[in-house]
Amino acid sequence: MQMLALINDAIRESRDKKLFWAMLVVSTIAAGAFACIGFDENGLSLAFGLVKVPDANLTAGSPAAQQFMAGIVSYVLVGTYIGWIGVLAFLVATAGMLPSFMADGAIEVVLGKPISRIRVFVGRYLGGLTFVGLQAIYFVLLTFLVLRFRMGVWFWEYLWAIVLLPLLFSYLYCVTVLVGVWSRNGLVSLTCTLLFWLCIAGGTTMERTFGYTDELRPQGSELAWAERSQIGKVSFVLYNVFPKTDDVSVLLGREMGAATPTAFVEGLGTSGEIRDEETARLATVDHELTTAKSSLYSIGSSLVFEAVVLSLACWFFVRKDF
Amino acid sequence: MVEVVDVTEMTNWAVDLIGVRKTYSGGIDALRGVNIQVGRGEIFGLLGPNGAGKTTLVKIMMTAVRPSAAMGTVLGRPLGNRRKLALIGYLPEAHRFPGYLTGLQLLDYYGTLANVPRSIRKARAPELLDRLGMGEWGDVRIRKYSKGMLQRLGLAQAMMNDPDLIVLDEPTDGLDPMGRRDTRELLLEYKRRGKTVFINSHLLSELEMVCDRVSILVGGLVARQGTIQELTEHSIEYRIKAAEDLAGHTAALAKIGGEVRGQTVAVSGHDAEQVNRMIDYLRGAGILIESVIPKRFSLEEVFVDTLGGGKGIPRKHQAE
Repeated sequence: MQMLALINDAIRESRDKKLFWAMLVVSTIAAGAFACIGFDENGLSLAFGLVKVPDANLTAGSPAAQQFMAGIVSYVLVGTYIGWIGVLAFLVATAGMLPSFMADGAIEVVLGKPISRIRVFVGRYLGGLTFVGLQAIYFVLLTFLVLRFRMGVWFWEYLWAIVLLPLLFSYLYCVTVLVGVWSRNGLVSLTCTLLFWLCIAGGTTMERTFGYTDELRPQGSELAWAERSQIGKVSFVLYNVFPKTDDVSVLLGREMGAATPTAFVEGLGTSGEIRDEETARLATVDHELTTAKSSLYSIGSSLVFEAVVLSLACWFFVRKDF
Repeated sequence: MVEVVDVTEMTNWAVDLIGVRKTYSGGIDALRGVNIQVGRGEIFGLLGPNGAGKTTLVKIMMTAVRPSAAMGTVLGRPLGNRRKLALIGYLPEAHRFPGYLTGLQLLDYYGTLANVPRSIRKARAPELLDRLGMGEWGDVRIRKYSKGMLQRLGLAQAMMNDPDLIVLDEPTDGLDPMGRRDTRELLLEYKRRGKTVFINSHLLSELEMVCDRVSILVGGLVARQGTIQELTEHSIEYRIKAAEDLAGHTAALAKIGGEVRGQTVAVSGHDAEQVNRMIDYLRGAGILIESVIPKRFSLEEVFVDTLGGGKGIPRKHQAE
């Protein structure tokens, strides 16, 4: 009951924020825009049929059309809209939740109750995730229904996004929590989290650049440790230690049967044909870096990082004098 | 290094603190070995200037701050025992409540954290708000409350679990005179029900009205401790009033420690023998004495004296 009370309090706090409602509105608009996309016997139709894009592969009911829609959902809606814009908004909205909870005069009342500090910490952390969970449930169910009515099929695999989106957020939120406990300042924790996110992106980019290609293997396949340059070794450590935020939309795309991200972007999923050598190399790297590695490795290694960071944050919280 | 000794035997003290020390990082000694005992069913006041360590002591009792060293019990359980908090109500100084909750939601939330069963919460929350004169504000969001209303709400949340011990840090801060009177009555009602009240306050006159015993904390140590009666029983001075003007005896009376003020001669301190010498002189001079009035200390004067700004009260009841 105590834990539920803490989570319920976080939900109330979320509902009190304008950003919570703004995100719901933006999600509705995004889902509405998504609903404009459809297919007929001649190809792609946009804006409910006002704009026609003839394409022999993308016809109503074709596997390519389904693959295309899966790509739109995975890489555009989830990967870009929720994966970047949404997570950024969620971080802004939640960064201050723990510091305000730990403010002088607020935390003492809670600590004066017969509840362990670990439970308080976990309850509050789950409360922050609940904010994102509610948004994810709304957005995914809405787009799930849009997919059904535009494509005529149920993309049950898409419902994984309800779990994957809070998971993606939690990879970063653990850092927000750690810095929040340490600094008791929402702005500082948000700034540090964004810097950390930048580091993750940097680590992934470095790994794509230095971990897969050398003079001997221009086509791109993962280099062994001994084959790597110094910077390649650094990129290997960064990439494997940090949570894999980029993987989330790829994992979802894989579940939904979408083309790989590069193939999707290059060919908009129409045929998956690869047109030049550089794109071919990127596609191979994509495959090696994300698709070829198991979901278990991607999520598991990210969760290990998250668990370590959260344990550290919890330890600080338990030991702290308020 | 934390040293908390497990003392689980039953005790008649509601609060029995022995050698509580707290050194913050940077070497700041907030508490330097505090010993305080609070009897069950009494109202106890903790006094002290800013920075004396009062709030740190209260926070240690409520487990918000970890002591550097401590022995003792709260409600018969070792200091730091969190389960016992179910029987303690706590109102921190300058508390902040979530503005998005209504008064009733807040009481329900904190009641849940205090393990109060749902049915009791539902009944007790409106009852407490009524008792504190806020019955009509239960469904209004807290952000619309005045400071005084927030303070009343704070008291209500501290009482949600019907605690055996209630710890209040500056409970009348922000309250108007009516609110202070209501709070006093509430605390006295708790006392009548056999509950223990531990108050940390700057408002000495408030404490003097309700407290059975007080401790004065100075520089992280208990400078004085005792009942209000014990602390204030000594006189600052005796005033001997004569039937005639004493201007002609000023020099003679000054020689034996008297200060003439018209028809009155004042004798500083608490030395009864000196007063008798003064009386003997006046009677020997054929002067009729109308009255001898000992002027007692107020708690405020005791407090000021303890801080070194007073006239020197004997430290018979000084704990350390």
